[in-house]
Amino acid sequence: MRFPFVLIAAAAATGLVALPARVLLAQGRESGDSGRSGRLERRIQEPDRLMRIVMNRRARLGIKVNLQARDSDSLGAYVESVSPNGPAAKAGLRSGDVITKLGGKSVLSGGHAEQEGEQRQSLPGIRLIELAARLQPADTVPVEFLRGKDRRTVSVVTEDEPDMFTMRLPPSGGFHEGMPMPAGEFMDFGPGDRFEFLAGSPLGDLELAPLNPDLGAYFGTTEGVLVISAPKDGTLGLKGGDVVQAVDGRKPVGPSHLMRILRSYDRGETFKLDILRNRKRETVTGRLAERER
Amino acid sequence: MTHLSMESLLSLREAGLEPGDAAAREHLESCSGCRAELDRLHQRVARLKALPALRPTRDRWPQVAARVRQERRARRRRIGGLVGLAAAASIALGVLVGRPAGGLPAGEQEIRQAMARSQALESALSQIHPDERVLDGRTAGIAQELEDRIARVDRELEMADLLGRQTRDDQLLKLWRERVGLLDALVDVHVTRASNVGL
Repeated sequence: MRFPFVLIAAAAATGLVALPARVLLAQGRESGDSGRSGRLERRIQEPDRLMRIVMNRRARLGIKVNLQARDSDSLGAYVESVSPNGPAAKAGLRSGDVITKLGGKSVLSGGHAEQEGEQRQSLPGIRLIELAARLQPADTVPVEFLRGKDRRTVSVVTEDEPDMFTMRLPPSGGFHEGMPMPAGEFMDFGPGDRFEFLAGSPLGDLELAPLNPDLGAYFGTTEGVLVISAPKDGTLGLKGGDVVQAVDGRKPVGPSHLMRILRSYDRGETFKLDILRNRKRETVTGRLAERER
Repeated sequence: MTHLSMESLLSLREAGLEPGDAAAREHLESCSGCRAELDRLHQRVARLKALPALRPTRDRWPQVAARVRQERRARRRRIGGLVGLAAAASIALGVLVGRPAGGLPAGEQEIRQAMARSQALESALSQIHPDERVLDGRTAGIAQELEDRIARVDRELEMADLLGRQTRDDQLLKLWRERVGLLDALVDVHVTRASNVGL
C-alpha cells in the first residue's frame, strides 16, 4: 500500500504548488484579510469576480463570447458560439458576429481588466459579461452587432440559465467557490430518462407543424401550432387538425416550443389546452400517458 | 395487502426504479382507493406546476444568492478533504502527463480547430430551419435534450475561459470537443429526422 500513498502525497503537493494563489485568496477572503499580496491578488480577483458573475447569473443570452485578447477587440466582442435554439439564436445572431452594444450600452467602454503578462483578456468580452449580468429572464434587450461590415440590431429575449442542479459538487481543497466542474462529468441524464425517446415517450407519436400564412388562412388563425397527428390513445386530448393556442396559459410560438412546454409535465399530469377545432375555440384537458406497465 | 404508503405512491411516479414496485403495482390494479390517491397526487403536482412562475424582485436576488452560496460552502466543507486530494492528484497527473515541456501550448491550435468545426456545424444547423417543418415528438425529445446539454456546455465554456491559463486550455479543449460532438448529433437528428438515430 505504499505506492498509492506516495502517489497521493506527491500529487497533493504538486496540486497545492500549482494552485498557491487560489489557496491564498480563498484563505484571505475567509479570514477577512484582504490586503495581502496585492498585485498577485488583483490579477486573480478579476477572473474570480467574473466567475462569480457567471455562476450567479440568472438570465442567459445563449452565446459564448471570446474572452482572450484578439484583433476584433477594437470593434466589439467576438461571438465564438451561439447555443442552438437559445435566445440569441432565435433572434438571428450567429457565431462570428461581433457585438458592439448591449441594451444601448457600448461594450467598448468601462471594462477594467488587468492587461499584463500572458493572460491578456478581451475587454469588450468582459464588458459584455458585466452588462449581461444585469439581465433577468424574459427581458427583451437590443443587441447591436457587426456581421462583416454590416451593422445590425436584433432584440434578444433572455431565458433562464440552464439547469445546473445535476452538477456534482466541485472538488474542494485547493479550489474555491465558483470554480467550474471538470468537463463532461455532470452531463448524465436523470435516471430513467435516457431511453425514454426509444421506449415510448408519451409525446413520441405527436406530430406538429407550424402555421404558415397559407395554412393559417385555411384554419382561420395565424396563432398557434397545428397538430398533424396525435397519440392514438387520446390521452393528450388532441386530434389531427387541432390548432393549439395555449397550454395552461402558455402560448407556443412554434412546434418545438410546444413540445418543450408539453415535456415540462410529468407522466400522469393534466393540463388545459386552448385549441381551435373546426375553427371553433375549445378548451380540452390533456394528460401525459403513464408508462406502460 | 394494506393500502400503499405515500412513499410507494411517489416511487410509482418514477416507474420501475424501486424493487417493491411490482407488488405495489399489483395492488394498484385491484384497489380503486389507491388509484384515486395516485391520481390525486399527479393532479396536485400538475396544479402546482400550472401556477404562474414567481420571481423575487430584482433587489432580492443578491441575498438569495449569498444564502445559497453560504449553504453550499458549508456542505462542501463537510465533504471536503478527500475529494480535494483526489482532485489535486488527478490535476497534477494531468499536468505532468498531458503537457510536454516548452513551446506553444499544444492545446491552442486544437481549440481553434474545434471552435471552427463548431461554427461550421452551427451554420449547417441554421440552414435547416427545424421550426419551419413538421416535428414529431421523438425528434423533439432528442433535439431538446441535445440543445439543453449544449447550453450547459456553453456556460461551462464561459467559466473555463476565466480560469488560469494552465487549467483553462485543457478544459476549453475538452468542452469544445464535447460541443462539436453534441452539435454533430443535433444536425444528424434534424437531417435524418431521428428515424434511425440510436441515442
